[in-house]
Amino acid sequence: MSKKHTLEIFDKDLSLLREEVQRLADQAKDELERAMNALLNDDRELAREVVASDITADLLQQKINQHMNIVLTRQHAMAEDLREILAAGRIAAHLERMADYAKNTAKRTQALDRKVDKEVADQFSWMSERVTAMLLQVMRAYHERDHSEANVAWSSDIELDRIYGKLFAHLLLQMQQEPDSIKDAIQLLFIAKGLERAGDHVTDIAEEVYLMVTGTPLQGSRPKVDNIAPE
Amino acid sequence: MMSTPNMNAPSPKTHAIDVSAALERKAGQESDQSASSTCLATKNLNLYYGATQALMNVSVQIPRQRVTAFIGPSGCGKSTLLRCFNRMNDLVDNCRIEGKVLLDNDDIYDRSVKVALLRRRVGMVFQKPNPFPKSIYDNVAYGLRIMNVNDKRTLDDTVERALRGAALWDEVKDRLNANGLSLSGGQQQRLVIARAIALEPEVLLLDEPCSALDPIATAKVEELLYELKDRFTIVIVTHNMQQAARVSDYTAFMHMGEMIEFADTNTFFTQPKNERTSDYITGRFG
Repeated sequence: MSKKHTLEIFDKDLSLLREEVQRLADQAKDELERAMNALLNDDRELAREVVASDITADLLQQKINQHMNIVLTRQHAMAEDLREILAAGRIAAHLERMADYAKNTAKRTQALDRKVDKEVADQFSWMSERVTAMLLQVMRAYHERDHSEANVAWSSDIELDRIYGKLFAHLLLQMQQEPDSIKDAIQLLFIAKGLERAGDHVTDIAEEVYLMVTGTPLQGSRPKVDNIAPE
Repeated sequence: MMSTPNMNAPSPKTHAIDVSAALERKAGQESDQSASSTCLATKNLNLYYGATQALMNVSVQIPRQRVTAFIGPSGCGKSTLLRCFNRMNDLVDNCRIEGKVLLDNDDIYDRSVKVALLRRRVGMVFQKPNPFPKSIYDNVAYGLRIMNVNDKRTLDDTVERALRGAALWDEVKDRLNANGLSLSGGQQQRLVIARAIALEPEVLLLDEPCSALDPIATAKVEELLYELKDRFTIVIVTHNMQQAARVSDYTAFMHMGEMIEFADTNTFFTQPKNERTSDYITGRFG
């Protein structure tokens, strides 16, 4: 946003709100990456740390909500300002859910009997990197108020859906062929589903950014792959 | 186990403005397109105070039985435009007007128009409450008496109806002979509104009607506007953007004598089309 408010404190409030949202995005990204490292390296200690650190994301979200309420009360925001403040609250909720999926991954990692095999690990690694890249892209769109980039992030979730479908099929086959692997495979299925849902939250954030910038909802249906009956 | 209602729980407090009722009314009106024809309009209106041009080619259509708010910075021409609607500017020296101001499609600046009759059709309420130093009753009956209506029963009925219409009856019914100036500021403003609506005008013009009132008195006047728009076309000039957002169906933004944007209020305050409007309502102005 190029023009400044006549009331300088309003600009500072909005800027602070943006910083807080970014801090929560960093926290969610960090937790997702560490949870994935814990899973792929069978690092139980790191998994415990991720679970313990999730409270940080909760507190950051609470802080954003409190700040939002204060700014709304004090500044009587209108139009693009109002959209930005409301978007901050909704984006924060999505980021907090992404951090929850990281915590869930870390919890399930601690319940695994065996280290994840390489083929599965590669697919998890790819999904995790994809979610991180999408998150970085959507946060860039948020800061730069770039609805085109938000639109790109919104559309790119299909790649994540596709790899989730493959992983789903692989784990299903593994359970059929190796009944002893069922306990771990179920945990891994939930972890994969969590990553896929994290991608969905990024697309939701992209929709919020688009609405915040343009004032109109992102139209059309998002490209999707059917995960329940993958190719 | 189902919880039982807490009989001791305090009853929910209601807003001075009944928001849900207001929304229902709004929804009802939105479906009633027949009532939204144009009541007042200007066409290429230019107004000059001597050599200074105060209104620049303003064309606007004000819907009937709706509240239309005019906002804009000081000196933008909004009060000047409001005063064109009942020819109050006729009283200003060196004031010259080009273009048209139409009330029900009739040009109010036509030579055949009698200004006193026009002002009966287009009532006005000012920023500072200005009751006459007379009783409450006489304030409201004043306009009718000027028109030689002296029948007591007619006057009584009209005074009661107008005071009820201005949401003041319950507060003053037992002291109608008290001086109008003895009322609080908020009551005085509603008394002035009662005086205006006693003549059953088509249009009610309000120039910053709440700027001298406290928040409670302001809320009562705003609630009154919701009720009055079923019967009158209301045009309000306000510096308070939140007030415009709360009470109006349509909002117009003026700047340096120009009409910059006119839209339904929901769109106006959430997705203004013009950058100057957006800058003004978000406080990025000047």
